Amino acid sequence: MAVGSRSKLRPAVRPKIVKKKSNKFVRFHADLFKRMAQSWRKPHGMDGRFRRHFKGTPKHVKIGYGSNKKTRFLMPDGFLKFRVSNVAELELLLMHNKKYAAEIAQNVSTRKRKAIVERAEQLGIKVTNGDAKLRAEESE
Amino acid sequence: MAANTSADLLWMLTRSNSSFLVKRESGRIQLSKDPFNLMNKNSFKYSGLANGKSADIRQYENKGIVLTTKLTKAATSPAKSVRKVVCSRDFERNFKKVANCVSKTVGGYYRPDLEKSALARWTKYHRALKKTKAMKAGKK
Repeated sequence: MAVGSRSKLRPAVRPKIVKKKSNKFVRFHADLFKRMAQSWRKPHGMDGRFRRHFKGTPKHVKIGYGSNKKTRFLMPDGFLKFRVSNVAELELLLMHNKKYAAEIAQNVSTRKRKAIVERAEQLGIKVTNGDAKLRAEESE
Repeated sequence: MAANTSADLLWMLTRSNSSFLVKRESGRIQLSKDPFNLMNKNSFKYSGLANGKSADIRQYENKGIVLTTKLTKAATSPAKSVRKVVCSRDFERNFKKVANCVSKTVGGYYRPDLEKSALARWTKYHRALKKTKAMKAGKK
């Protein structure tokens, strides 16, 4: 069952998602050292020029960069994710299939995945990772 | 639920913790697996745990779509406290039947506030049933 053959499911409302910053906040000087991770850390240095927001230093993380509440957690297709481990949990989304899309949990087997995907098609619920493990099986 | 307990109290006790409650981080949604919840929503209006009168529609593999309502008179004996109405394939006729069963009882009202959601759920399951049959026919 190819994903493309299914009719396309769309959310009821699709607000425009505005991201205030397209590039990521990187830890200061993480580019200079290979051993330093990129993930954001607040600068604490007493005399650090980055902490003191000197001219020419990168921007800091601030709450003002947060997303609009209405578009927060929204996927680019306008759906919100809902993690699902079995068919019973999928069934919960029946009345919410215009707002939420199901995402099958990572530890669900191929056999059960097939059952979830089939039921989702019947109920008109979008599955974000419907062909995840099937893809791997086919390529083997 | 015991007939002599107030619905409000039962709701206060079960709203934040019950085995039916399904919480997810993204989108901060709270759903309910409650067998008498038309919208699968964790709210007082739809809670079948708290309300003496409540309805649900479900699809069973061998029985088709079944409408269930709670009988207040037999609240103390759970096995007898459920009224089951099997909905056949006919969409229009069952539409009226569902509306009637949910909003009225003999000589009185049942839960008129749930009528709209019950009809919405019947519509969705009816569509799903059609799709299921089409898919099964396709496989053969």
